[in-house]
Amino acid sequence: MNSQPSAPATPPPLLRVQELAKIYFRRGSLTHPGSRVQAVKGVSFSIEPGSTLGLAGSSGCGKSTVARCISRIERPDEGEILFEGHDLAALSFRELRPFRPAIQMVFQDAATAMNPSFSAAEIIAEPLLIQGIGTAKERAARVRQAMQEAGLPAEWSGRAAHEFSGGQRQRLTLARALVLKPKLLVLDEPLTGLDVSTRAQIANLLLEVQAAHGITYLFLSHDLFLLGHLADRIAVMSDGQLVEEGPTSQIMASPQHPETRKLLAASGRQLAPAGAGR
Amino acid sequence: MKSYVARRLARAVLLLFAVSVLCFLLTRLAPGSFFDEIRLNPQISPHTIAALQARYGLDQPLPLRYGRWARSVVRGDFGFSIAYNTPVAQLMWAPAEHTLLLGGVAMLLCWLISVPLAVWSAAYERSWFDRGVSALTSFIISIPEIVLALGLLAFAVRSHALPVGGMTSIGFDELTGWGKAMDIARHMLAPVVILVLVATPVIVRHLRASVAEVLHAPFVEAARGCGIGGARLLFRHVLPAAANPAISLFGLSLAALLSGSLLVEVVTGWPGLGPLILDATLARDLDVVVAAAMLGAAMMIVGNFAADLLLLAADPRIRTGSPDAG
Repeated sequence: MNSQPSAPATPPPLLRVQELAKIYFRRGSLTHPGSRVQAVKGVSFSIEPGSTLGLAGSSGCGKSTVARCISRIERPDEGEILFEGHDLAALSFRELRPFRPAIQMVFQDAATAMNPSFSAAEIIAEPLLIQGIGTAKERAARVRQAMQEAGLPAEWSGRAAHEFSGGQRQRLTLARALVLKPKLLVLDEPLTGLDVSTRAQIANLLLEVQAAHGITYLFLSHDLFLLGHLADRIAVMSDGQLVEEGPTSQIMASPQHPETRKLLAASGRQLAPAGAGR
Repeated sequence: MKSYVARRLARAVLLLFAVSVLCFLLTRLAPGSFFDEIRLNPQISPHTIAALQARYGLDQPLPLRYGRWARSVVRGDFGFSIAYNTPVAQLMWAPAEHTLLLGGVAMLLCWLISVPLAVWSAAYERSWFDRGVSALTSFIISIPEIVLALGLLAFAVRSHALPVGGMTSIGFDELTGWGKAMDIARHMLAPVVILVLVATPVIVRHLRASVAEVLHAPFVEAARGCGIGGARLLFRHVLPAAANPAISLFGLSLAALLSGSLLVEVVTGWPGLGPLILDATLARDLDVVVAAAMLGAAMMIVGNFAADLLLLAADPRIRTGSPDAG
């Protein structure tokens, strides 16, 4: 979690996004013309290994689209996603498979992010299965390990996702992401919708996991105050574009763009997650 | 689990009893009797008719007649057919087998066709394949079953491509085992095609809708984000989560095994329960009618029960009584 000292010998970034653009088309019908929404245009940023980049913005600003492009759930229309030097944007679904374990995503709504017909163990083991990792025994061991790491008792592995509470479900999706030992974790509003104390617990868990494995985080949130606690650098998006980017302290102390000030004013009214301070 | 099954069984027996009372009463209260036609014959004296009625117990009060019928059900006879002069169970056994064969084959084909069609259609939402399937299914759904049946029949008769009527050819007994099977299959083709055409579009449309809905769920994106795609995504991740409406439909199609093909059987001359029940109804051979209705009710209970058990097995949300089960 140590922010990189601004020494001249900075390591190469783990992820460099360049001029990312994504356009959604809504297909028309006989009576309605189609429409075209540019969700993301010209977004560029990079993340250093082991650090956290907070991507801030109000809902609809395009930050989720950026996240989905980086984890290649979506294919960007323009731009490059350079992960350890490989341009993920140019790869096909099949070619991406070897890169998948390194980049994992945690979704906002944990309840819908897990298959309702699977047990916890199946949910966590599925990424291992598709990557062809380990024997059944080794996979079971890694499932147990991931559950423990996410703060869940391993004996609960037989339960279905709906049998867990809200905070436990988010731990479960985190376990699913961690089981592949990722280098980059894309967290799309992982604390939204949780109550205050649970938020703090999950936030602390994320910090512990990062400290233990040196995982790089791309943390999406509308809550600048929260990102102020968790992120090393903050990038602010508005209307599909990056409007401000800089070290957390600078963004928090002297926000330049009106959108940043608006987000700061909005999140100031919320309680910071207790104990999530750095 | 055991007490659940026991409760369901007890309720099923109670339901069947209620259905039997209703069927028995309603058929007896309906106008007309088996002897109406005989009465028109001047050569048969009223005395003979009265004697016949007494012999079948038709002159007794309704509760007594129900008791007599109920005893025959317990014996396994399911009443007595006046027209055929045999216990109903014996009369219905062979036609029920034929109907089950027809319905079973049609149901199997129907599901084998519907599931892949629905899943691929949803997977390629808004593609030409999807639009084609959607247009075709709505077209077939909008055609009445009888028109479909008569249309196919007309085609079969004019083209001489298919045998029409009955279940076997004239020289059936001389055929070998394989030849017999092929002969039955050829006779079965027309009714099976009609039944499949009627049932498939409904299942395809329901299943396509639920699969399409699940395909947009975040957990499917999460799976894609792990590199899971293609058939594994569709059939291991999406289909089980989208199966609930299809399982309920499966229960209904199970329930329709013995009663769903009656019209088609009558039209195509398949020697199943359809023609038997139609004749019995027209002749006021009431015990046969009641037995057929009871059979339909029993199959409905069995189908629903099977669907509930399958849902229990398939959906952990139902197993543990979660309120957000879909």
